[in-house]
Amino acid sequence: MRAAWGAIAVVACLAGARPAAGTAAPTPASPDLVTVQVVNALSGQPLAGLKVIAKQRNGPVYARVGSATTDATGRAAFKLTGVSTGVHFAFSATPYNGGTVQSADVAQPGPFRFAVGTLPVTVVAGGTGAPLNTTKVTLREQLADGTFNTTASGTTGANGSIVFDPPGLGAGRVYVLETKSPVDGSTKRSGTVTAIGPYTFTVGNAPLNVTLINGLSGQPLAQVAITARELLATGQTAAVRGLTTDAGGRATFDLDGLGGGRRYVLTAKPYAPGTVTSDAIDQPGNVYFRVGTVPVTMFDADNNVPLAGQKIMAYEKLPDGSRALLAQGTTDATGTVAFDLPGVSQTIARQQPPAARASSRVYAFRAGNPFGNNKEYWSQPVVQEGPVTMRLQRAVGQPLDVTPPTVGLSSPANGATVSATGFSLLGTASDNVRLDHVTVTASDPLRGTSQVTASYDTVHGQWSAALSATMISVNQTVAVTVVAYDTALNRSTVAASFNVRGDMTPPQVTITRPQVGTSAPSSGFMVSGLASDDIGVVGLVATVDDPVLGRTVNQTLGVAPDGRWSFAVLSGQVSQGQAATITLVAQDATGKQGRAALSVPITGADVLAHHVLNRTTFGSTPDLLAQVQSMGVDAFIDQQLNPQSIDDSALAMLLGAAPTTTAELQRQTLLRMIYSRRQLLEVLTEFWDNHFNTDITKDQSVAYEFNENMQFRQLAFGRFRDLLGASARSPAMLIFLDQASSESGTPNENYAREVMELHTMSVDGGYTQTDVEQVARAFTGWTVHKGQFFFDAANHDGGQKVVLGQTLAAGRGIEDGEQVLDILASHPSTAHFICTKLSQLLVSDAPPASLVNPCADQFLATGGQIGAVVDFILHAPEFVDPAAFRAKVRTPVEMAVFWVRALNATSDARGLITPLSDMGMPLFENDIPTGWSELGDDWINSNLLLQRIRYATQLVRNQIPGTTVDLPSFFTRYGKTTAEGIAGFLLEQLFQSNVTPLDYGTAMGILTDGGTRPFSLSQADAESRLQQMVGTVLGSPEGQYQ
Amino acid sequence: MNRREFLRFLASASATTAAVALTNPLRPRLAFAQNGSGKTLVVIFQRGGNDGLNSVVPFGDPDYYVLRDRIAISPPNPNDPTAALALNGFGAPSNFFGLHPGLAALLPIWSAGQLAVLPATQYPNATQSHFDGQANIESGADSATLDGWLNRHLITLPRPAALRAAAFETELPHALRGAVVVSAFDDITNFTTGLPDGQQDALLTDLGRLYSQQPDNAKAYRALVAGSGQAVINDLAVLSGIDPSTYRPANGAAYPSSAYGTQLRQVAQLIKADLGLEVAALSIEGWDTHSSQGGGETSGQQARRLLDFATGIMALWTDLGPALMRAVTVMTMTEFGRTAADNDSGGTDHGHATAWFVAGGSVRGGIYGSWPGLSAQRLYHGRYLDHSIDFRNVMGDVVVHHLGNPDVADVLPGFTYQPIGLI
Repeated sequence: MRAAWGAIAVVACLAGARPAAGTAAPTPASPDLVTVQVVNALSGQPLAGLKVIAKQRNGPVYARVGSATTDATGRAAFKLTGVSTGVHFAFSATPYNGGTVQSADVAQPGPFRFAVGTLPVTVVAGGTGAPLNTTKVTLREQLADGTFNTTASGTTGANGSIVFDPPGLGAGRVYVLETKSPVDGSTKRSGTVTAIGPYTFTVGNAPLNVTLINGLSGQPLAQVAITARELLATGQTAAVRGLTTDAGGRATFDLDGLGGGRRYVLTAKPYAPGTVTSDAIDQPGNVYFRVGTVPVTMFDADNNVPLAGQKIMAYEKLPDGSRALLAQGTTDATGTVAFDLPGVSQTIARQQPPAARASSRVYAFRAGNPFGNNKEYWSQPVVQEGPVTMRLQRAVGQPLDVTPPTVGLSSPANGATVSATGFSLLGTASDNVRLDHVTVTASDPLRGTSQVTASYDTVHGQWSAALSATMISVNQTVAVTVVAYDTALNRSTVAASFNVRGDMTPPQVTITRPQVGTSAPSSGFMVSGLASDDIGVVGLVATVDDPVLGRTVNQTLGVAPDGRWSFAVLSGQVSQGQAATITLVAQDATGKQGRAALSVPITGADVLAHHVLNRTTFGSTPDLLAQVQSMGVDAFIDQQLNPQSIDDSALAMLLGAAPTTTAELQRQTLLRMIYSRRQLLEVLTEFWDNHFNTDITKDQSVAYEFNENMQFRQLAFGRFRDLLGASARSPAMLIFLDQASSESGTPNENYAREVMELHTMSVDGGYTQTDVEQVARAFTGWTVHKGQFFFDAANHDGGQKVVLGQTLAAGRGIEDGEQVLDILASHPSTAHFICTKLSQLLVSDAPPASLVNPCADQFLATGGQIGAVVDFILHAPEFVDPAAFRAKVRTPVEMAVFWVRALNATSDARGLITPLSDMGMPLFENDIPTGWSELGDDWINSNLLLQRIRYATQLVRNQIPGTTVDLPSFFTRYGKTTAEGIAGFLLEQLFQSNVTPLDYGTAMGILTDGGTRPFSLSQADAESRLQQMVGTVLGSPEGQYQ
Repeated sequence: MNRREFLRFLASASATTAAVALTNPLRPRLAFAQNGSGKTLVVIFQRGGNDGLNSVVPFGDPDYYVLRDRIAISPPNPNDPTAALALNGFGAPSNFFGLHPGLAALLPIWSAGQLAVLPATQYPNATQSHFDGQANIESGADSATLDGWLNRHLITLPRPAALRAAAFETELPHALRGAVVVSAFDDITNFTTGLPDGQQDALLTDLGRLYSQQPDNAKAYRALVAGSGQAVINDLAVLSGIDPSTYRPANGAAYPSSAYGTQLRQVAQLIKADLGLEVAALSIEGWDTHSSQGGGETSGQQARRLLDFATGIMALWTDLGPALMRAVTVMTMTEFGRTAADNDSGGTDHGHATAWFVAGGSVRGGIYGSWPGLSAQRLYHGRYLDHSIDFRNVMGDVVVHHLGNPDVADVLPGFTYQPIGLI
């Protein structure tokens, strides 16, 4: 300690003297003399004329003891008292603009090299590289704990130069440089400096010149605070700088790493809805921060007044249909709030206005209950910048369509093999409001991604798109994504992938029907088979060549996804006794062809099964037709003539309890007609019920009518006398024809006349008015008591009567009436009349005498056994006369029931009652004693025909309550899934070979939209097209006959 | 093209092809010219055989009260609402005939001199079968012909019209059956496919073609079906502008609420719509009163039917008003009268002559035909009122003098028409 104090004293002394180095060469003899030479550490050049200060060390403290100025060689001599005896000194100088430098300790006399300028720094602007002159720079040491100590500072000179001498530089100590951004004044720090040598301090970054404007008008927005926030890897943002725009709306930011990978966003609150966050910015330069790009204005539509001071909420519509609240604001005096919508608004643009840009994000605005009526008022969906106007109709809410469209891919099936030559996709798309468009994106491993916009058929809800050969590659799997958008920009997606294959083989075609070696009838038949190909059949043409008629069919066929095809050869297209050649030629996409041919011998018309079903049933079903064709018509007729032999237990399950209402009576009767397997029994039961017609609206008793109907069913094939007797004693009949009220004195003649005119002999059957009066007397006393037939002997005219020449002795009772029935039932006129009516039912409306006369003989010979009479008619040559085929018009009930049966509808029959009434046939409610006519011209006029057409349209569209027709399933069940197959099959079932080319063409035209669209059951409108087609076919002329 | 234009287009296209298809040069539906004859005949058929004796009551004939001891209508008496309403003036025998009180609505027409009453109308050897009787009368003959008298009128005097003839019945009445396909409407409200416009247009376009196919006339009913199908399309077009639900009768006319009243109301609407409607046929049922026929009391079975019948005619007469009624004639008919005596069931049985009515602006009101009488020797077959007017002469007057068709021999085949002079 003493030495140290001594040294200070010496240096202090020296300090007052002229430094030795400055005046003369140092005296080597002096023991404490130290000659310091200041040199540039990097170049070794001496620094002349530099003031050097000597300091004596005392512990950690250095105290100035003297100074000298270096000479031309950079030297200065100091007498440092005690340096030779252990006192330490150091020199300091300020050689550069980087502040004072202190040397290492000087611990011995002699020369001392003081190297300075270890860190020459060039300070340049980050954006331009221009030197930053007269800029204050601070040198700071970075300590091990991460904190910084300021070491030195200075102001740059020319060329942005400043020179520092960080202690220990190059010896492990770490420094940084700091200065203020020349752009925005923020502090900028250099990277770490650890090595001796020149260093360029690039300050800050290229400026980001932001102009805040209204994005629509371009007007700058002054005095608005803008914050720059860095977009972090986490997705969060961190505020880095806040500035306020000047009068020109401008603010300039210096953002670290901008242009070097770091990204920023700007936020501001220019408008009512609050903070707007800009799009990300990753490059410096001039940008427009565009705000207020979606101004929403709300009007009261009732008076066109803006709705001021009302809330508007902005929602983003998400793909799943949900809504996310984005912002809300309150309208100004003009009813407006300006919003900015992320993804839609271009908040950052390099030019104004920016180029338009597509957005996939969708927004909608909702008014915040402006009328206090809690109705929802939504804007249209918003996908682009620009003003939005909401005109609110107070009384009518405006809901938001959030229901996405439906989209389906019909063909090819997912996973199918497709042709490398390109292929078409077909599918369905629809929307609850309106579908906008459909895109198809194909991803091929080699070709990449291609997108096409599908053509969309709004009428049928069907889209189609073609992927060309350039989009796909052979032996690869192409992934396809179909996206449907509705006008509210909801969307739905369906994806599939396909195996793309090259064309190796020609198409294969086989004809499965008719089978090889079989014949086909000239009345028409279906041809069906299969067609397949490795890349798909694109065309299938059927031709039929007849040796006499020539080429009668030349038709392009549809091929179902499973390869099935079919078509109908119509009556008139092939000749009996010839062999028709059926040829099928299939073609694939590359033009390769495959063919199949079959020679089919053509036999005579085969319509007998149809005819038998037309006459003995309420109409054929496809299954029953096949059954009859298989078992033969004779066996079928025999079976039907013996109804007890037919198991009808399934029907019993459907019927339930005896009816108690007219509607239930009608319904059960119709159920029997539809579902009974004892069809001929039901045909005859309806015949007798109608022959002995009564009107439930007169007798007002469901029980009377039901019991009567059940008796007719039980007796339908029995003796006519029994049927007549059942009718005569039926309370329904006794009331309907006033017999129940007939009095013995002056009896009324209603039943007496009609039993002869309508039930037995017929109007010209040979009775007279006197016979009417006599019969009226004979039936006096026949009445109803307690709901039952009752013979009131007290009211019977017991006098003698003469009926048709036969005397009824006086003094008898009920026997009079019974004998009258005996006389009538066995009268030849009755036999003739009943045979005429049954022949009209079972053969044709004007049956020839050659049928009726022998039939009447049969009637009389069998004692009026109806079963035998019906058997006779069904086996008469007139029955199978081609002239009788489809010679009758279906009555309404025959038609209504037939259509239900023919289409395999499921029906509880209740819905048929009203249309039957409209068509003129309200069952059990006919007030005409004659009953309903069996003759066609009574059932055809414009009104009844229109009612039939209406019933057809309702039936096929499932508008008949309790009756369901499933047309796609119906045709699929019979293997008919192409337009030709469906049309041919239906017409064959309904028109029974009486199909004209126009009938067929009309059906095909409906299914294929006039040939403009292929038909497929997988199409969205397939069922409605089937409904339209079947409804038209049923309502057409040929639909009326049987 | 709106719905109506479309339908008209369809109908005209269909009719054009149909004219060829049916090869019927007389087919009237070729255009929508709506002139017609300017005249309308409304034919009302009382089906079941209305009892003429209790409709136009011969209260001046004492035999009437002998025969009708159960259901007679008493002579006119202002204090008795069940009594007959005297038909005096216009040349009628004084205090002899009266209307059933249920027909009171016809009195203003009588008083206006526009009601012709024919109390004893029928034809020789008439049938007593409903079926045959209706067929004969609607054939305009004493035995039925294949076509009806009104259809033969349409054939023999073709006139273009949008809707020349129509039946307001479920079934087309025999009178309108024949070579000319005549439209039928049970109720215009119900005359619709029920389909939305687009679907209906598609359906009718297809059906128009299908029904215009050349029918195979070797088979039964093909021509009738084809013609009726074309009529459906034509009539849907014609009626597309007719909405019964918005029709308001004029002059306070009140139609009965029955189906018959509704149909008459629609007839008036069609007449006013100027579609050239020349013949309209309606039916009113429930006249076969074998038992419980009733007398003059309003609850009687016949009385209720007569009330409906007469108030309907009165409503039409009122609704159309004097100007339109000048060109409109209403005629009523029924297949036969009933036994002169009532039976023990309080009813009457099938008889012979009966009362017909003809009303209209050009009708000469009055009683037509001599009174055959009801004494035992004057009764036809001892049981029925005989006839003094052959119904075919009534038809002849209407055909010649109202519809202006001179070809009465074709309309009434095998009959020598002798004018009665009621028009």
